[in-house]
Amino acid sequence: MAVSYGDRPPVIEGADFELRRGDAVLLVGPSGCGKSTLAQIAVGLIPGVVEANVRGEVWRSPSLNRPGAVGYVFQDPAAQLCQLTVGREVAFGLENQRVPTEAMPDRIAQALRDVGLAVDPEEFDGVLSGGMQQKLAIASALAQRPELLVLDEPTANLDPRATAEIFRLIARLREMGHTLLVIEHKFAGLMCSLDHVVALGPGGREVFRGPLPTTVAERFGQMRELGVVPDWASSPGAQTPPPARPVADSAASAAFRAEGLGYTYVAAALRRRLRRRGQEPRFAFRELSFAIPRGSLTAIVGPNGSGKSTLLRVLAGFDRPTKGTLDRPAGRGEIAFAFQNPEHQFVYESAAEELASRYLGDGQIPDVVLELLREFGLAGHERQSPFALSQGQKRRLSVAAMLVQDHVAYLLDEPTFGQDARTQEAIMQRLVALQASGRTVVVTTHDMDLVRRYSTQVVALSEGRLLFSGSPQELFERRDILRAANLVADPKEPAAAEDVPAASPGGVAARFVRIAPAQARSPIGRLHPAMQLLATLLAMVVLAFTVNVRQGAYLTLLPLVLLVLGARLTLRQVAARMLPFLVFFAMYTWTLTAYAQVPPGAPAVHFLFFRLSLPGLYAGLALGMRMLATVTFAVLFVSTADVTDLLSSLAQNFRVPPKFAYGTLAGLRFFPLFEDEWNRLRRARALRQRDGRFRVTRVVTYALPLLGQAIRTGERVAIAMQARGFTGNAMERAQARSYYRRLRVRLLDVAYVVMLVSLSVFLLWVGR
Amino acid sequence: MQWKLRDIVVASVLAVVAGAIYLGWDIIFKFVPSSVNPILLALFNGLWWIAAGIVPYIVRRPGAALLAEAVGGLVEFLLGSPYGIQAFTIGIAQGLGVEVGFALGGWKRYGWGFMLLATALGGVGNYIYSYFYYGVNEYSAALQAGYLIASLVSGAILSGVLSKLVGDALRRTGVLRNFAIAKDQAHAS
Repeated sequence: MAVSYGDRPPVIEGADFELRRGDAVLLVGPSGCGKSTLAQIAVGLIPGVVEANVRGEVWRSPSLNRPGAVGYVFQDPAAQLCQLTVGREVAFGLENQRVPTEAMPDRIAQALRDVGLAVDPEEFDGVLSGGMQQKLAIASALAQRPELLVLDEPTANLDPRATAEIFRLIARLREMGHTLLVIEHKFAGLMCSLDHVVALGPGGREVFRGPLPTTVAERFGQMRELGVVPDWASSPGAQTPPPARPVADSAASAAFRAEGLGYTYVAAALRRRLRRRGQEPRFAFRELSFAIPRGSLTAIVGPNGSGKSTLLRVLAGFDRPTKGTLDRPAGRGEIAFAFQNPEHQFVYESAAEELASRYLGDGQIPDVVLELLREFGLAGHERQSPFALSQGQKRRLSVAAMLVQDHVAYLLDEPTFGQDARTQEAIMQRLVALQASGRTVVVTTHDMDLVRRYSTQVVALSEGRLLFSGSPQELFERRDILRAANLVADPKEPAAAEDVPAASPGGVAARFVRIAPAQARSPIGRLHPAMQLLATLLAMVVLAFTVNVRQGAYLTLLPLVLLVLGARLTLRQVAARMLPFLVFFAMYTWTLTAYAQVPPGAPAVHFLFFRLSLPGLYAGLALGMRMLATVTFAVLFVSTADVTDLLSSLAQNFRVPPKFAYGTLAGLRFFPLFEDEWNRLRRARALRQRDGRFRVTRVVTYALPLLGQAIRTGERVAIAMQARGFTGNAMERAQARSYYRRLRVRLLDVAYVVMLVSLSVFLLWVGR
Repeated sequence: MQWKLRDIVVASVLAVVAGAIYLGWDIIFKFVPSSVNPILLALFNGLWWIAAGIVPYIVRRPGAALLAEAVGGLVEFLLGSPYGIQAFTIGIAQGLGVEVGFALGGWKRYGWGFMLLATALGGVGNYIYSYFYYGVNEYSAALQAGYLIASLVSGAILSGVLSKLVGDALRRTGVLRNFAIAKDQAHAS
């Protein structure tokens, strides 16, 4: 086979590959060698869903063409879920296969049991941890009863413990007799659960294949040469003690010293309120006391969500500690920082400008910059957009940008994350060189082999508490700490802590994505969502005829009453939902009053430079009330109508092609993700500005990382949806699929619309 | 010209971003006193249909402007716009206006000319809707003409020019390789 994308050089050339029914194969190879391409050919995503030119001969068993006959689990959990709740996520694939509605709940429950995911099917899947989302993705594939299941780096975004959980699950899948193709860099935990290993070299050509685990042990040296594993990785089973790295001199002065350090994202005002009620805010970390010696290479380790990245940001001075004291190099430009996603740092339109830290246009590129680019293997890319570089190149560029100027300390958030072995090595060599020249380097990482090989000092966190601070030699002797910090990826060792859902996304996002169960069960909540939308639209038409305050007030009261009686919200909840609009209403009325054009002679009060008048106030109140009524109807709709049902009903009841309904839904799912990305971006930009290197914010470059990431993820989600059988008729024709929740327009729904509209008209008439 | 699933998902994703921007714009302009000249205010209208510019520019399918603007308006509404569901309905009007512009080019032409024309026509949709719902019918004829022209210009600039700049910048980053915008470019060169 030979495969190429667009007019780029082929990814795969002259490759032969065979996968037999019942086999469980581990596929390894350096990044860019075409592992994913090969797997996507196996499941039939290429060519077709993914556009590519395929030459050569491909034979797939015809039985694999039925929808759902193949399952494909991708590496990024966020880029393959397309629904809002756990149950619907699994149901999506079943709908594509036309599984009858009645049979779905059992199939879903069974699949969730199979992967060991004990969550409520009604739970919003955005609150699940990365590991749980990945299990959900596997459950979604399993529910479809696939003949072949591909796992494409399923643990790439997970910490060691979640990785171990997924590995245990893979072993179980093998026992259940599934045909598996697993692409995995961290394969040590899979040695005994899969049958064969196939190693690919450049061009997707097979370098060797053989039974597990013996082949890996025999060929480990060859795998290093191939670039499958970085040269510091230890062969599985041969856990060597850390090499004699110069241990940081404990007598040396500290670059960073923390005493009782604590940090919470909860704002100060809210903290005070909580304290008055005798409650404590949730801390990202607390009571940390440790020192980072000057000239050390310190690794901060711990499970996902343990506060590592937050700690690094506090060390960098982006966030002020909530509690305790922190001594750190505080001079201007003394600290350099690299974000986990290098894109967050890029502010210019070319790689050379990024290093020169100024706009170059078509002008001369300084020699220093060219030299640096060459050193980092980026020669020839100087005029390219930083965003157009490969993942490895982006990371190298961001590290190179740190080296343009000299700093006292270098802080890097997961510098080797998601990078291939070669890039990892290149980066670590630079960091070691920096350390050797007396600089302090601090990294967060999950890679314990890296810690073993390079670090001179380790800080281990778990759930925001300090577990350990000392030398790596000491750490590796403490199995208890390694386990507690989820630093052991040994599938035989049970996990220390239960997998708990991450904090639920707050505020707007939470309300946006799903309505509360109590409202879903309420009389209005059970109505057809499209009919609720229609009722809201018609109410708006009526509202356009309000002319006075009384009518506005009556038409505000109507939805308010319905919120309590029909939607079963408590008065308190109603107040909380309406509060922002009340504030808004007050301000709105004020501007209308203060700036109203009043007839001459009308009594007016002069206050500061405003002229307040009664007619102005009255006109302001009337318009303000109309606005308040409008938003109250909106609150009623948002509190009771489920967005998923609304979009699904477009397909079920109004024959909209499912691809539009579900494609749109998959896009809406991004909203909570944007909040995160936006915050991260803002921090990164604040840093560049603080450096004084970047002055004018250009809107276009600011929007690029956010939109670029969104487009890439959106594209992956679309591919993941199609991998689950959302193709052909299942995607084009509403009648060609089954539905998890059947929605029908009943008499009751119509009655509600009629009632709401007539009541509105009546109130309009009463208040005239 | 068939819509691919990735076109729809990405259209929706971009519309979600736009919906959040619309909400911000809503809040800012709700507080502008009514005594300010409406023609001046109309010069800022165009941003409210930027989704109808950027999405068709990238995916290049019939209905893209309407779909993007409907979803953007829906998101604006769901997030709690002070305009309530009117955020959604006016979005449809604006999207239809832009759609007419791209339809005139047979949904095949997305150069500067058609981008400016189509996004300006969003101002017509905005004018017609505002005529019935936001009291534009009460303005004098001259004021109405001014309002319409200002909306057209604003659409061409805030929706059209901005969409093209952002779309081209995104294309240069390579993330749009699999979308019509990059393919058209490849044929052109």
